[in-house]
Amino acid sequence: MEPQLQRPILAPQHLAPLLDSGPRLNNLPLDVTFNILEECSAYDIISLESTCRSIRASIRSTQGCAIFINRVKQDSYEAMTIYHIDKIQIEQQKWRDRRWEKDKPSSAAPVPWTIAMESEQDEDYVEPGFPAAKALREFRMEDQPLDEQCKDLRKYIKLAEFFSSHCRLALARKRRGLGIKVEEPDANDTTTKTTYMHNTARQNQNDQNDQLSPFLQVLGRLTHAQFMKTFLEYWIATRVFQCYIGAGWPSHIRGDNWVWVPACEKIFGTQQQYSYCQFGRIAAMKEFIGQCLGAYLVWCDSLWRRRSLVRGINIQSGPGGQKGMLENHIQCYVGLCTQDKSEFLP
Amino acid sequence: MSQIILLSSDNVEMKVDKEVAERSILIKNMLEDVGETPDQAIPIPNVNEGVLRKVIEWCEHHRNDPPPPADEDSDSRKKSTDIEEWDQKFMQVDQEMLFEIILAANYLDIKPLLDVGCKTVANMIKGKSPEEIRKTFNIQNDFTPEEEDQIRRENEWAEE
Repeated sequence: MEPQLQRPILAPQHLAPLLDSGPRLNNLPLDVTFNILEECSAYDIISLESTCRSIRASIRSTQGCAIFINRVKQDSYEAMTIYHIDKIQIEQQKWRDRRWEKDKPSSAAPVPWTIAMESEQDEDYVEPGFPAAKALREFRMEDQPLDEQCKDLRKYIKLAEFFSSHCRLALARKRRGLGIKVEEPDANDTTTKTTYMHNTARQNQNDQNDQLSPFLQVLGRLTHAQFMKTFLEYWIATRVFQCYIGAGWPSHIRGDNWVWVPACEKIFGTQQQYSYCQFGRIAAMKEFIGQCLGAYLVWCDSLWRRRSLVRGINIQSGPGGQKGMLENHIQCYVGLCTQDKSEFLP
Repeated sequence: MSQIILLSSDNVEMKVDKEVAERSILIKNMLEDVGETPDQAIPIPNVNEGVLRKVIEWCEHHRNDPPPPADEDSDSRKKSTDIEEWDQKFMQVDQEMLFEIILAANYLDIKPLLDVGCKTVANMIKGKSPEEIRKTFNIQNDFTPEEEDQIRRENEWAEE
């Protein structure tokens, strides 16, 4: 039988071989590719990933993901630093003046501020039945596979951007919409100034905020745990924002019918680490915290709209003087009140 | 000043000051192992004459630079836009040569040169879409249409 001539099978367009064989971006050794990735922004890495299989494989490798994650952290920090540079300078000066006046007799060296948050050891402050410690442990992304972290973080970059541009507006709107009551220090904690933000104006829930819809849409898709991961663990908690942690929930914000969800936990390091903070960055930290709380409010707002479950928010901040902490620090507690505790399960 | 001879992959010998050659950690370690300045040429099998000359030119210019910091995670690391003027001009070569220099720097373990090369590439990537990156670097799109769809879906959030 005569052999039949077979027509050559053309390689599909997407598999066509390249004409030259010299080094190029997509055939470099992995370690060189990683070096280049380290010089790229997070968004550039995302673009690169869509160019071809080999580059995508490099970026999806364990080390590639790690580089990406690290870049996200740096980008977020840098973006926020640039965004707030003027604010920071103003804040710095105000703070310096305040400190100078206060400390003049005792010390000329400025004492940095710290932030105290609920820790896992303070479980007794949370209503029985609410698995706070468990949930908090699950906020840690390190336990997740790198690919998952990578996937989440991509979303988070976007969130950070939304956050920068919309948070201030959101806060301003919330202040107008919600009743804000500033209370004087209570008897048990004479150094604490408490600001309560109750939902005293529920009629405001359904109006306004149309301009915030993209932000709210994204936030609304997040679970509580995701939100925490985004803003607290991976975005705000960069190395420069480390400080002391250890305060519990104050007794006067505990209540039988309210579940107070911790806003932050273990996002800050130890007091020793804190001493490395630069003065300018402390002001930035305060700014971040303010924004974080603002974002929290917006997130709560989205919950409000979606399910009408959240009943109130408490933000407390002000100077304190807890044992073992630096002389001056700021305490922040953010609580949510809900009738359905499962709302906060991760 | 003592000199050594480097032998490129295409068998071209080049005389170089030892101090200059020692910008390469690979060569530096090699010379330390030998203990004295060798009379024979040191083969550099992965680098051809043209590329080796460029690498030596860079090492000559940077012969008095302080050693790079050991801590690679240092925050003081310069951003990709921060390339010295001389280095920027030095890197104005065709793409093949650029990648050859990067590979040579990687092989010879010249970290600062590797950084400059990678930063140059990163600057070429900066702000470009995937298609623009493909065009810039002559990369063939080897994704199937299904894979492209999937990638588009995955990255949709970034394009909102």
